[in-house]
Amino acid sequence: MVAVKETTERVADIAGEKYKYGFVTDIEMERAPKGLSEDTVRYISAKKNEPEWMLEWRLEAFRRWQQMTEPKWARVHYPPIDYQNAYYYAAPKSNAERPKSLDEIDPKILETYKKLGIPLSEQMLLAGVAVDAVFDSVSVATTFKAKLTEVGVIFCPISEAIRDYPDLVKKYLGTVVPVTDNFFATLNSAVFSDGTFVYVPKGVRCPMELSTYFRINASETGQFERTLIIADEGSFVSYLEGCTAPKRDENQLHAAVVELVTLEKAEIKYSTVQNWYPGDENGLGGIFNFVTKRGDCRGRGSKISWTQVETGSAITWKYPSCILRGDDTVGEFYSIAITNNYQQADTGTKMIHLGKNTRSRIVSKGISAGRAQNTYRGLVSVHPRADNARNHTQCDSLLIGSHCGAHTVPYIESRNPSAKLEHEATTSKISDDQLFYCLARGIPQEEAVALIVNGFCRDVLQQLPMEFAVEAQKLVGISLEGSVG
Amino acid sequence: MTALALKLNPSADLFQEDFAANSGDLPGAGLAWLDERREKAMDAYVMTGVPNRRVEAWKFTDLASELEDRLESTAAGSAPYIDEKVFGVAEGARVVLVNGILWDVTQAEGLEIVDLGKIDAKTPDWVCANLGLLASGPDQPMGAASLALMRSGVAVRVKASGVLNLDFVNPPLARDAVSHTRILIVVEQGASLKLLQSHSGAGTHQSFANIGIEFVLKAGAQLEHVVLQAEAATAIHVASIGAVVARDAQYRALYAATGARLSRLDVNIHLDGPGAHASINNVAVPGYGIADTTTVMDHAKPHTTSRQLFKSVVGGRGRSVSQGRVLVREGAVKSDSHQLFKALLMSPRAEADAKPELEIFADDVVCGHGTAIGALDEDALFYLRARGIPEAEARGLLVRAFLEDAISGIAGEAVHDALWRKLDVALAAFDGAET
Amino acid sequence: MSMLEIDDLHVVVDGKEILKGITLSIPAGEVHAVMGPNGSGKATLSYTLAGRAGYEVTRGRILYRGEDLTALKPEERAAKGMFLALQYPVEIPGVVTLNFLKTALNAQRRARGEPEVDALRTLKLVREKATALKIGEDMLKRPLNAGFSGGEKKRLEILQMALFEPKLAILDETDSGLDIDALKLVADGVNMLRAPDRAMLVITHYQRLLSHIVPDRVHVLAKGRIVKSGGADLALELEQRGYEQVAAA
Repeated sequence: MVAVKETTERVADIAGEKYKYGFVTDIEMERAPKGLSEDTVRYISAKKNEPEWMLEWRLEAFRRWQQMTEPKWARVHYPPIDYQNAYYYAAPKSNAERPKSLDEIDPKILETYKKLGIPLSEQMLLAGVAVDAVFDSVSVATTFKAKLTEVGVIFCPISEAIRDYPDLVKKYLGTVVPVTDNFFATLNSAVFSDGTFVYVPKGVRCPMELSTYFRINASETGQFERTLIIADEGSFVSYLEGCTAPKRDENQLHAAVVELVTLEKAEIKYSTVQNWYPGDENGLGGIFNFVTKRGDCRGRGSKISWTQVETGSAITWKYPSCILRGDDTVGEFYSIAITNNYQQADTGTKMIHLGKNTRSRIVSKGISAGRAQNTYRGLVSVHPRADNARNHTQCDSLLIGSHCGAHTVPYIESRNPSAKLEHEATTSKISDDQLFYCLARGIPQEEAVALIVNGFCRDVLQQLPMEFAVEAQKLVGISLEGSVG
Repeated sequence: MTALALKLNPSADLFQEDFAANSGDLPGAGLAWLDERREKAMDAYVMTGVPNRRVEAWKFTDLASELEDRLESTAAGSAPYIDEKVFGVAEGARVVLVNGILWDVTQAEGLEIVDLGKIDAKTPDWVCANLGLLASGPDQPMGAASLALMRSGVAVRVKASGVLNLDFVNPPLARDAVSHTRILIVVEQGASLKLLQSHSGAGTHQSFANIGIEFVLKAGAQLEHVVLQAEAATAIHVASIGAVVARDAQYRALYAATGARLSRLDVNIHLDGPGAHASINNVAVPGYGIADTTTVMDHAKPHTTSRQLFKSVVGGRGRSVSQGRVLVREGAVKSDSHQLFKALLMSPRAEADAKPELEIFADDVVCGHGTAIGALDEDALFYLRARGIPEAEARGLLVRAFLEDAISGIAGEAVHDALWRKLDVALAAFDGAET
Repeated sequence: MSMLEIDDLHVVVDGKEILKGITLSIPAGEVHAVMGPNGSGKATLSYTLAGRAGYEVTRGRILYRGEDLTALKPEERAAKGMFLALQYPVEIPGVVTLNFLKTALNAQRRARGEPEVDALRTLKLVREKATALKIGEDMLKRPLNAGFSGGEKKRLEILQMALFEPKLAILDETDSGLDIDALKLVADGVNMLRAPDRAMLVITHYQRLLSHIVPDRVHVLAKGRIVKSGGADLALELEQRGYEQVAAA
């Protein structure tokens, strides 16, 4: 078919610039010595001027990690990771003394974020969005801090929180994701270098979107950020994270931990647009993304909602979960996972119903193209005490092309007769009729695919904050370029 | 196997030991082809041993912890039994196995029946060509053990059409015991078989029936398979079924489970040619034990279809496990598969676990699954009571209606009624069970 | 000038020849009808004109405003001013109708080198056209054709025709599944779009649509060939005497 050939060629033409975040910032870096040992952990802790208790916490994690083995149950295949052949700390030298104001930030870093579409000067920022910018191992800027302080919201790098709000950190850190939760979370506990800390006080509705922008820049370096968000009684916060990395032939490890806590009647809305470098069309390079995200609805009537758009990374291993501990709590998981070329994603959620009248909703849209493998893996578990628990799960997969795979692995466990759990899943391809209808209306093939896939994802896209929904829609189209022939 | 693994899994060495000590005395020992298949099966079994929860496919059913440490092998003619024609179907051939050992065969025209307990060099070629090739790999470890340690069983060939009653009768044992039994059924091209299989038993000792079943359905063949498992409350029942369904052949099954402390149906269906179809209806009413049905539906070729409908009603401290993995291989386009798992929990201690899994490697397919777990519909219950039907009766009506749509439409009235007789007994026992 | 010129068109679908030499010419400003029984090749003709994959032209050619279409993709044909109203408009879950209209409109404009129109302007354009077809805002906000009634789907097809202002419109069984009120509404919409620089090809099984959209010429399609052509009264004759008799005559 002529059309196929042309499409393929056009895609080949643009493949070079397809991942527009693939550039490298040339900046002088300070790194920990290569490899991982107790000394690495001490080095990181010292760099952060951490109190003794934090160092001990890390060292304990490191000792436990040495006893653990990498989990193998996910449907992802990758060469063994050599944990000694990577850097665990890399920071721009210019950041040694953390800049007090935006004017003091290295212009190269400002330029980097500008190129990524995240200008850090407050005037240029999207109104109503505060940003914490994490560059490799350190936070380089946090905007709108003053405005947030007025209402009592703490929004700062976690390294700063450990020094300035030790009681809050001690009270909550590691209580949702225990230090020994899993191999990657334990590794993170030992070597996490920065990340975001948010505390929203009682009754406060956070006046703006909070967001963290993660950038991996340095080569041979892993990024291990740690995020802790606490929504005190009756408060609300919407938080968004974005991620990009340069194009490289090597695989870089990203092992983050995110912990969310909601107290009575509080709500956290957590959105992710993950666009780490996915590797090239032959599967070379790309980020290994092993992430542990969990929220604990501790207080009665509280709510945690996860929305994720996962388009990047060579490997995605990620299950943002909700522990519905308090009575009348609500957990939500809305996910779009797109894999193309040789990407592999194994992602989903866990909804653990412990309290009475707890409700959860799962909407997962998996799209697989090229030679990619895309797996939804989820657990819905209702414990005996969880009277009247409700879950609804909708899990749809779309296959584009005949060499990819789409898999659905739900675990559904009910131990309470008054609970009601419903799960539905479908697998299909883009229908020829839909595609032809769009073509006959003058919409070119790739645009038609993007349009149909965006329609397929609509239930999830609608959950994103307005500012990011448009970007996410574009990303859906870009991620699938070259997938239809 | 390391010492550590043995310690975690004491039963594993039970079967290994049995094999090491007795393989020379098993039926057909010395036949090179059979020795080889038994050894291969033992190797497959050893990869997991008796499965515990760490084996992903057995995540919800810990067989290792339920099995007694010491199980003797059942002996031929070890106990008398009451002859009950469970399905009330008089026609066709009949095979009776007592505690897993072949006891009696009533031949019928069109069926060729071979005693696997007396397998030797004179055994027909079609048995050698097929026995032990299915339900014997590492994915069905207990099936593998049943082949490696096979003490008895039958092989049946169907050339035209026929009915076979296959009754497993388990009278009380004097001590805890295990039987390893194999069934091989070959349905030749265009032939058809109605297979009515029952398991009944009594007694206070643990009887572990470990059964491996192979179905070879040649092109255009049809097999209608009804299983009624109504074992004693102390019984452990594991049946591993392996089927190859060739082009345009059909496997249609109804599995019903009412008894056993732990039952596991481990089913692996290979849809091996265009037009091949499998449908499985599964009905389980555990009131105290674990009723586990786990299927793998392998769409290996284009234009294959499968339907699965599982209905569980769980009472007392019972637990139902419904697992179904649908695999559509690369190139198996136009595969069409659907599975629906539904469970009703009737008591505060009841539990239902489900894992419907899709593994799709072809784009032009229609695959889906649904799961619903909950209590009886209160609105429906109210409606019936408002029309004057007492609560208990209304519940009974709704439960029967819930199960009926998985039971109707297969094997005729006599079988339908026989199934309901057993199900009603099991459901009635819910009320007496701890709630 | 001839808007559409079909010359000895042979089309093969799934290895089977469905159209066996069709010759047809539609001048600008005229409405032609192609009538035929089930299996005569009506749907094949409309899909072939729109360029759907799998409809292979083995002989002959299609000239649209003098240009050979055979090698053009469906979206290129649309951008050049061809429009096909489908017998069964497709449901696309999650794609909001208004967004779809904007995407299609701008894709066509872009292909023609014209500036794109923004969301607000699109909305205004759509509103103007929608009122006449009794298409409300709520319908535009719903996903494309999803849950629409038969009449709604067909009205939306005509709305698209009005919006894209094609030079050649092909209406494939536009009357199927419509009650008389809906049929009138759709026919009125079509008649409003009749213009000296526009041609239409109405493909239908039944005569009833043609009493509302009166054609300049009627062609009878049977077994992949045009067996008879005539004026508007040919449609009535077909209705009265049946396809077999007319085709035999």
